[in-house]
Amino acid sequence: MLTKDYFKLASVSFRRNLLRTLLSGLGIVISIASVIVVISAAQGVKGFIIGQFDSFGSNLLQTETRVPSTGSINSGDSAQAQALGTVITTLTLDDMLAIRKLPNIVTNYGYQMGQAVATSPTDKKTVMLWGASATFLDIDTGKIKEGRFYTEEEDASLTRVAVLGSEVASELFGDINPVGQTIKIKQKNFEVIGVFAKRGAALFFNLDAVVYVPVKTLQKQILGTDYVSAITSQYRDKSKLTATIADVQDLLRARHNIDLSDPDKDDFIVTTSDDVANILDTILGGFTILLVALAAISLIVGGVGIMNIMYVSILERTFEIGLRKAVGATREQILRQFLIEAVLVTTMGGITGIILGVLISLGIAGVAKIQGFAWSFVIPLYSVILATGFSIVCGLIFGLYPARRAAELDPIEALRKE
Amino acid sequence: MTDLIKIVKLNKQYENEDVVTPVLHELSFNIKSGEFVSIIGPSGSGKSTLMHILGFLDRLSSGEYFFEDKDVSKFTEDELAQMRSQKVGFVFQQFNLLPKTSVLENVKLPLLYVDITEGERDKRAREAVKSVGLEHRVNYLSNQLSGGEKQRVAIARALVNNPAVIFADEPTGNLDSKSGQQIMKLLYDLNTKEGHTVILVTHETYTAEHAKRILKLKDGNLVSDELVPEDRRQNAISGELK
Repeated sequence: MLTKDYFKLASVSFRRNLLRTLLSGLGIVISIASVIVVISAAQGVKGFIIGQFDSFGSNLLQTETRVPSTGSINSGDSAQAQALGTVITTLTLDDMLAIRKLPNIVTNYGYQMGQAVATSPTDKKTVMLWGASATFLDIDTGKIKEGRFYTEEEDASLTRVAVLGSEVASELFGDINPVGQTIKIKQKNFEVIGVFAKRGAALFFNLDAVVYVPVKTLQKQILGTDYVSAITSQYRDKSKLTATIADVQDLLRARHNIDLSDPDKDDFIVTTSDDVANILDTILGGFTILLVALAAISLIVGGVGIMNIMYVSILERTFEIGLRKAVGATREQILRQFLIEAVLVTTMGGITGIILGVLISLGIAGVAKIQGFAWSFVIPLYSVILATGFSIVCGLIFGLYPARRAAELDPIEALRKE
Repeated sequence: MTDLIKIVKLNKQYENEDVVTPVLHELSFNIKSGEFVSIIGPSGSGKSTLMHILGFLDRLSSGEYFFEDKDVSKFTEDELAQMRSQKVGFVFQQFNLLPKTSVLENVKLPLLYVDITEGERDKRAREAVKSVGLEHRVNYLSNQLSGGEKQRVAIARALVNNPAVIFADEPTGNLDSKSGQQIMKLLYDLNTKEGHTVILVTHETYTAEHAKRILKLKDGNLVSDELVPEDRRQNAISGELK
């Protein structure tokens, strides 16, 4: 018996029992579609978040303050300590300049943030006050729409100038061009010298609701401090990143008089966008595995459905099987006939599921884009291979039992069932 | 002429939870190629079981069965399937055609398990349909046929593999007398004109007399093995006694 004979038999059987075949494949269609959607959505989320990071610039090395371990609590409690009000004041703009001199560092900026109410002659708004060095725009991807960004000189001389996010500009000034106007922050007048183009949200942080001021102006004129909360540096050569991180750590430990032998005493932490991407991969990978596992359970349910329907179908077709055996079909030929039927149902179900999953993922990407998310539509090849493999294996596993029952039928008994 | 079938002290019993039911007892006989033999006996005499064993659908419990000098009693399931595929054709009382399937596809069924091309299958099946005089019905569905036509399709299906022996189990049992007569004439012609070996199982003496030789079974024993007198045979064929 040739392979194409089996396919012909299967197609005859499918046409005879079209509705039954469609119903038996439905479970596989749904579970495969969910596998495709889950994997594609995870890729979309990942691409979206990575894209968000890229809006802050590429090749970034982030140096942030950290509460050193006291020895009695572990270093993981740093975030908790900061949340409870422990403020680390050791990271300064001098550290920033020192880091900037390291090899493989292009440039960097230090920043400090705060919340404040900004008042225009006509309106007021609570804004995120972002004091950053003038080098901010050398790294960040934000674009100035009106006016200009502040200069090193303005930062050094504590000039009260401000650059507005697009949302702040339109809420405080409406249709009037804010450049040249004055806003009041903490009872101090700031001249608006520039407005950013609309950027959208990045990492759940609305960049359009930010007022940028020179970091030293913020420190001396408003906060009365001389530290920064973080330094963002841009590196040149990714292959030397590990050495660069070590350079930054050595430099800061020396400058902050930290015992070199005990990293737990560090009052800073150096991370890269790669670290973030890795963490993201771990989290999304975990979620993806969980969701794919749930989809796999639905695949098993779908497979059991196929097994049931095939089992009933074999009871109905007992006579046919008996006749086939009586005219010379071997057990193996009967087994193959029913196994191929099962695998064809699951494979066709799988292909339909892949198409459906791709369409749903495309829809999700479309809706996300309309909603303003930088979402890319990705169907990883491995998800298609995985889905196809799943469907074939599912057919083999769940088709085997009924097919074996069919193959073992006694032809004399079976022929009495006409 | 060599023996096609040689049975030596064949016994068959069914065992079900320590209850042993003897069906066939110490049967011994030979059938030569080209013979037309009837196996006759009342219901329960074991004639159908004997046919199933001879046709490789069932196994004997003890004794020996040689087919074309090969000891088939030790054959595996797959070897028996191969024998069914290549050596025998069956005609059943219930016709046993695939429903909602064309005459041609029904006749082709045994060829599916033989490694030949689809074109060859088609050709052989059409020849077989023609040999039973149903070429005008070749694309009809099996359920659109009369009883006599269905049994002709079954005979065509039995012939399509060019088997060494055709087994017919009560082939006229579900037919009116006229159709039954035609089917018996067809089997008679297959034997006398085409040289096919035919083994017929029936409970009717009159139908059995179409054969040259009658094996009579009673309670699983072979009680007689006689040739049919030529005049009785001719009467059966011409249908005069009916």
